Amino acid sequence: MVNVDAVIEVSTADYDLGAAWAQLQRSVGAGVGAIAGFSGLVRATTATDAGGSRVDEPVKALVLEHYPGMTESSMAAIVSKAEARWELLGVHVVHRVGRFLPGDQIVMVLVAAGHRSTAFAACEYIMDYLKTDAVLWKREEYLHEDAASARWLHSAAEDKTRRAGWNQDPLED
Amino acid sequence: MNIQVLFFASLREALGVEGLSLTLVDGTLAELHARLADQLGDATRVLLEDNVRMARNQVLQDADALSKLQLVDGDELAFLPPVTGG
Repeated sequence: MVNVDAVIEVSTADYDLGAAWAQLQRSVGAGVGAIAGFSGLVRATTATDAGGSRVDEPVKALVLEHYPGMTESSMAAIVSKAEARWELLGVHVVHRVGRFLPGDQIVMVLVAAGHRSTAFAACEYIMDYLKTDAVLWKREEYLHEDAASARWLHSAAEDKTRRAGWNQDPLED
Repeated sequence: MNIQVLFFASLREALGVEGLSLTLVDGTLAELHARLADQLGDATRVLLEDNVRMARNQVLQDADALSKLQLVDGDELAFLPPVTGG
């Protein structure tokens, strides 16, 4: 395994994308050619209902629950798989837990590599696996009083398909 | 032996508790489920649903591991509903 500078955090606190980006750039030094980043936000409307159909139910809040220790190790396992697949120079992943409002930042993935194709691909790979394999649970609270007031979410079929795609169609570096 | 049992997310809500301590004699999966049903009643049926996974000391257990499960004193057993990160 290459010696990758990986930082993996579960945090209630918000993250500062600019500061994290600058810190990653400093930590990886001169060999870096690209840093790709992703920041996920709480959507104002829910994507799917309990049956998996597309709906546009207004969301009041999103709660993210975790299992201290196991959540971190599940995220580390995902990053390790990415490190085994691509030559990465640095990775910084933050997943927030707690109760959030629409527009709040909840997940950040930054990947530093020698070239942009590697950085883009590894960033997307880590995000796809976080959706399906990280030990985290999402609960949406809804605005409308006539709707069920809250619901625990399951991974969308689309997310599982995206993850499976990484095994069927390996990308070239 | 004493073990710690944890429930997360929808399972915690369905059972109304975050977890509990149990005293077991044999430490088998069958005994675990029987003691949980004694303590928490019929609601524990949610723990048997196909999509519920179990972690022993924070390591996921596959079907083979579960069939041979032999708990020991101090074990932490968690019931995990389907995950949704990202």
